[in-house]
Amino acid sequence: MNEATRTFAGQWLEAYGDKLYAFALARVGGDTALAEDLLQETLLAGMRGYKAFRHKASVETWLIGILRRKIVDHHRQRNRRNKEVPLDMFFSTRGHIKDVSAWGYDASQVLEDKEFMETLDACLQDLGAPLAEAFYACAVDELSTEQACSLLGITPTNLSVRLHRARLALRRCLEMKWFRSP
Amino acid sequence: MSLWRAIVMLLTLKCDHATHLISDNYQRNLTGVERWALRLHQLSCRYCRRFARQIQRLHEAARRLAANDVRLSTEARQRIATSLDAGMDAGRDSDA
Repeated sequence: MNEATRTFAGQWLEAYGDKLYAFALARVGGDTALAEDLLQETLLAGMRGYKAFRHKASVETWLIGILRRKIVDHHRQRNRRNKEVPLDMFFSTRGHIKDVSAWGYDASQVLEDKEFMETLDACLQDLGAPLAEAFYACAVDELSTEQACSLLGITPTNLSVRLHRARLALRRCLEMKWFRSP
Repeated sequence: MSLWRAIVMLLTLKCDHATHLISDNYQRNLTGVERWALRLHQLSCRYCRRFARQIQRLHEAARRLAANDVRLSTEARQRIATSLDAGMDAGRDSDA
């Protein structure tokens, strides 16, 4: 580790610190101390790995990639709840979906609503790490199937199953906690 | 896919499979048969039409939520800067 790399890391902290921190914070349920630790570990890992960085992507993208991996590892190390989300929660035995009520809200209006966002956050927390990670990787970060499978160490079929369940569960959760409550 | 299986799919697609296709559609291109089966199903299934719309909104909201503009506190920034100056601190070498 030389002086130059250290200076880089300091610059990364300046330039991308807030962004990386926000990225981590959203994915660890608002645990600020944990998000700070993950940011620190990411920058340290970046310092160590900088020589191997090929500049195919921007530094920011590269650091986000390291951080994303650290978040997945963190969830894996923690005794993660493998919450069962059985399909019969959503479908009858004949494969018909159970009630899907109209939300009746203007999408843009909902997005501005702080309470709605908090409800969504709670629903994402509630999802359990395996489903939430798949959802973040694909629906939020828009990784390709290949990238997401390699990040999560699962097969495309498995990813597809997780995403289906994550979407079903999140939609249901929002409906119960937000759209139906008075 | 055999012709027979394609016909069966077109005629018998149920919500469980339809919602799975709606979900898959974000990750891959559906096959022609899948697309038509889904369209046919959605013609008659209000719930799956709603599902598709609501999932789209759900994505927008989740992206918005993830793009929050929180900032690192000054103390945390300082602490991290110090630890970067110290370089690799003890016990952290292992996961390089």
